[in-house]
Amino acid sequence: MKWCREHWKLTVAVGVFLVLLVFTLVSYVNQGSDFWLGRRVQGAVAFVQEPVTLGGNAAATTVRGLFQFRSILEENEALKEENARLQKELTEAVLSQQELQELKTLSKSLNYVSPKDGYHYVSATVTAMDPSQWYSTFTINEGSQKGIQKDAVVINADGLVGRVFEVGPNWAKVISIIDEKNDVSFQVFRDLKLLGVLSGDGKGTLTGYMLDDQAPVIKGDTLITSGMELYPQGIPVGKIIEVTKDEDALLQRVKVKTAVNFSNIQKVTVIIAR
Amino acid sequence: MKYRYAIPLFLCAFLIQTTWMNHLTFFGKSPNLILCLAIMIPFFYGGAEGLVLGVAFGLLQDICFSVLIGPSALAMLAVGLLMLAFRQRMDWDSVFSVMIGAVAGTIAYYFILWKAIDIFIDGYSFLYMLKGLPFLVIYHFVAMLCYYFVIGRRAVKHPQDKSMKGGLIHYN
Repeated sequence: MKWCREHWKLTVAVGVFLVLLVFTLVSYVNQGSDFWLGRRVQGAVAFVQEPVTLGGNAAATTVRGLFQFRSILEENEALKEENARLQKELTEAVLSQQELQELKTLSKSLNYVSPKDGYHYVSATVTAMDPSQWYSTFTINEGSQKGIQKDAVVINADGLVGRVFEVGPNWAKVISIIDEKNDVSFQVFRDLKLLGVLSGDGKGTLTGYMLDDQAPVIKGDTLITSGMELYPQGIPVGKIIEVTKDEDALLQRVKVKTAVNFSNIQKVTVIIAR
Repeated sequence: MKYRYAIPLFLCAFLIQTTWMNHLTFFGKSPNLILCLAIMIPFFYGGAEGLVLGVAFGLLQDICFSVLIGPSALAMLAVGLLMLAFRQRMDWDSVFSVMIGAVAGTIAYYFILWKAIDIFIDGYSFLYMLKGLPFLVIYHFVAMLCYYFVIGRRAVKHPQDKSMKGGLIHYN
């Protein structure tokens, strides 16, 4: 005790270090579980961040408008929305007309309800981004009051963004697909029979493998979600930037650049299962 | 620096960092304002204020964004202690010291944060972390330099200073 009193600064520093270490260990053990104080703090911070972000976005748009024509920006936004809509339509159209017809006939005879009918969508604004420079975790301004739940899928006009990993009444924390080690199952848009699995590689991109090691995938192929896991079918994931053969594991590995630019996300849509 | 000045500075830095910084990226990176303050305040002013607030805002950052609560605060604690040690051993009132402080503080923070995350969860690769580090070091040096020249600098050249060049004063 005497030593502690004589070296009180060092003792305090070591004490704080140990407390923080305990926090880290506890949060590691209880990953994803609700933490009352954390939710309160997050709620209060989100309450302040939302107007600041909206003000900042408005100011940024205005400043950009000074250098570009405002009308071009509006046209750009409209085109983005149209592009997203057309992309969705195209994806649906590619799912073989005949196959679709057969499935519809079958579903009618079985009184089957389509999974797509089982979703509703909530639009949200990104109110805060992770400042760590590596992670693309962010907070949105909608939460459980709008029906958002943990693991709800988040997309934007470009494609798959990630999933909700923590939710409060009027905020939700979203973890991006590049930060996740969870698998995303995909199919190649050019040939929907080609399936594979992807996950974040810790370098800001996605890597994975094809289920068939002889699958004829090429650089530039667009990948969409296959609907086999958490993510509904038909959401663009990204484009293949590298295909390599892993002779030892007998796998065909792919490296994928995400369709979404994670550095500047402002609007997202949350897909909620009914 | 007194808490009544330091707390608003940290609050503003946190708000700007988490809300507006995605509009102010250069080469895909933006300066970490909270870290800049956690380096600057212990370095320029000494005392525990920068250290305490650095840890508190590191913890807040973890609560708001991270899966793990603690790594950022641990890294801020290390940076604060490092800066206090630097202040004791270096002449903090020079551009060279500011540069050393910015480089050491930034590298220490990101190395510790990366390692702390890497121990618990399979996070980002070391090379990916290194890739962005030079930009961050430069941004933080520039930020500290701006602060140093506008507010932080205390020493002024005295005419009788031997190292002052052209120090002749003409009296009429």
